[in-house]
Amino acid sequence: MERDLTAMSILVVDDFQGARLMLESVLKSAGHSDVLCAGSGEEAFTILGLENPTGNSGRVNSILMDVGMPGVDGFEACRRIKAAPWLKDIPILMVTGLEDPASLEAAFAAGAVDYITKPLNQVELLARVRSALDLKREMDQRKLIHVTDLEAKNQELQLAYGQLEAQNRELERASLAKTQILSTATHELKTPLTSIVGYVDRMLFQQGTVGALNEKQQKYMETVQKNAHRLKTLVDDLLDVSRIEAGTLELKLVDMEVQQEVEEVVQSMQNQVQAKQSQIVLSFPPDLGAIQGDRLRFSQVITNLLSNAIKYSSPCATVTVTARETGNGITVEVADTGMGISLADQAKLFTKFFRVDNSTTRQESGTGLGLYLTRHLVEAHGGSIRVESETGKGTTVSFTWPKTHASGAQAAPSAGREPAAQR
Amino acid sequence: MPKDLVLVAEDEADIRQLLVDTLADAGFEVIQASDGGAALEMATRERPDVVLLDVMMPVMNGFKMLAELKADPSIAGIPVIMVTAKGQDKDAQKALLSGACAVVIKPWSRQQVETEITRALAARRLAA
Repeated sequence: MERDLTAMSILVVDDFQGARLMLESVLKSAGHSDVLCAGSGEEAFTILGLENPTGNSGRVNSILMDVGMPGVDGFEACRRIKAAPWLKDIPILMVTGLEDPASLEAAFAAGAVDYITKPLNQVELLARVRSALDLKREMDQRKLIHVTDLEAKNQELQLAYGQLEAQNRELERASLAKTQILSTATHELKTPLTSIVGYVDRMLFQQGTVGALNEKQQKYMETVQKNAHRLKTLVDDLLDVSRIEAGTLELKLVDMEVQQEVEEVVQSMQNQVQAKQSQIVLSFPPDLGAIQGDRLRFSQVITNLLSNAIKYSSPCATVTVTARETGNGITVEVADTGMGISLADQAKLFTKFFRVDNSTTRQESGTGLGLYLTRHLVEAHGGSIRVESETGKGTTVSFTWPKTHASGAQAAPSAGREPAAQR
Repeated sequence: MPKDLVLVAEDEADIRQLLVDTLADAGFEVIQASDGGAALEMATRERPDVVLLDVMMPVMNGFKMLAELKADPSIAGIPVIMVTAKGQDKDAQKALLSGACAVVIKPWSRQQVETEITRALAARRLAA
C-alpha cells in the first residue's frame, strides 16, 4: 500500500539556524514539502499550540528535536509535549551529537521514539523520518477507527438509555395508576362495609327496638359481624398501603409517653388476650423519656406486634414488652416464646402479603400486610425495625423510634380532639 | 321536652336509612336529604339542631353545602358533623377548618355517631 508521507508536516527544532536550514533542505529535496522551523523549545510550543489546544496542533506530524538548546532543552521540550494529551502522539526524533548511552536513555525516557546523531547521514535521516511519519499515520488511523467505534457505541447506548427512560416513565405511570386504583377501590369498599357493619350492629345490639334474635340467628349474626370486622381491618390496611406507596401518608406529630401508649393498646386488646389466656408483661424503666410521633400510628405498630406475638404463641404463653433508651431514640422489644420464624422467613417478614406458611399458622387470620405496614410506619418516623428468632424458642421484634421527629415538624399539643379513626 | 332534630344528608339510601333508624332509636327526631342541595334547602326551612353531612354527594357535595350553610347567618350556627370515607386524609382537616364541629370516618360505629351528635348538641346549648 503506497502512502504519501511527503504531504505530512515536520517540525524542525534547533537553536542553530545553519542546522535548521540544512535539515529543511534535505527534507524538502526528498519531497517533504511541509517543513516548519522553530529556533527554540518555546517557539516550538507556540507552533504546536501547547498552551492552547485549539491552535494548529493537528498540523504537525513529526518533530525533529535538537537536544542541546539554551533555555528549554530538547529533553524538557520533549517531556512537555508528551505531557499534553492532544500532542502526545506526535513522534519525536531527538537530534543529538552526543552519542553516549546516558543521553540516549534520557531521550527515550523523555518520550522520543527515535534519535539521529550528528553529523547527519542523509539516508539514515530520511529513513528514520519516514518511519516516524509511518507510525504517526498508523496511530491516526487507529484513533479514527477507535473514535468511529466509540461514536457508534455511544449512539447505541444513548438509544438504549432513551428506551430505558421511556420504559421507566411507563412503569412509574403504571405504578401510580395501580396505587390510584387501589385507593379508589378501597374507598368504594368502605361504603357497603359501612352498611353491613351498621345493620349487623343494629341486629345484635338494638334488639329492644329491632326485635329479639333466636340463639341460632344470634350466632350467625356474630359470625357476620366478626368477618365484617376482619374485612374492615383489611380495607384499613390496604388504604394505608396505598397511602404509603403514593407517598401521601400523613403523620400527626405529638409528644407521647411510651408506657402510657402501650398500656392503652394492651387494654384495647383484652378480648384477644383473654381468648388465648395470654399474659402480657410490661417492663419499662421509670425514667423513660417521651417520644414524638403520630399516636394512632404508634398504637398501630404496638397492636400489630402484640397481636402477632399472641397469635403465634401457644395458649397461656407470656409476651414481654420492654423499652429502653438507645442513643437518640427509644427501643421497644416485643418478645414471645412461640413457634419462632425460620431464617428464610425472617428475611421476608416485613414484605407485602408475606405470611408464615405452615399447617399450624395457616388457620390464623391475617392479611399479610401487618408487618409490612408496621415497618413502613416505623420508618416514616425515622425509626428502624428488626427481628430475632429461633424456631421453636420464640421471636423478638424490636424497633427504635426517634425521640424527636427528623423532619423537624412541629409537634402538635397532644390534647385536643382528633378526628375519630378506628382500627 | 321536645326531641332534638337531626338532619341526615347522605346519598347512599342504605346508609341513610341506617342512620335514620339508629338516631330515631336513640331518641332523636330525624329528617333526611339525599344530596347537598336538598340538605341546604331543608336546613333553611326546618332549622335542625344538628346536621350529619356526607362529603361525597351529588348535586352539591358536602364541602360546598357546608360553605353555603356557614355563609348564611340564619343557619350558620347549626353544628355540622362531617362524614367522610377518606380516613385521616386531608378531608378530615379540611372539614374542621371549614367549620365542621367534628368528623366521623366511614365505616363509623353507632356509638361514634351518637357521641358526636350528643357532644355537638351539648356544646350548642352551652353557647346559647
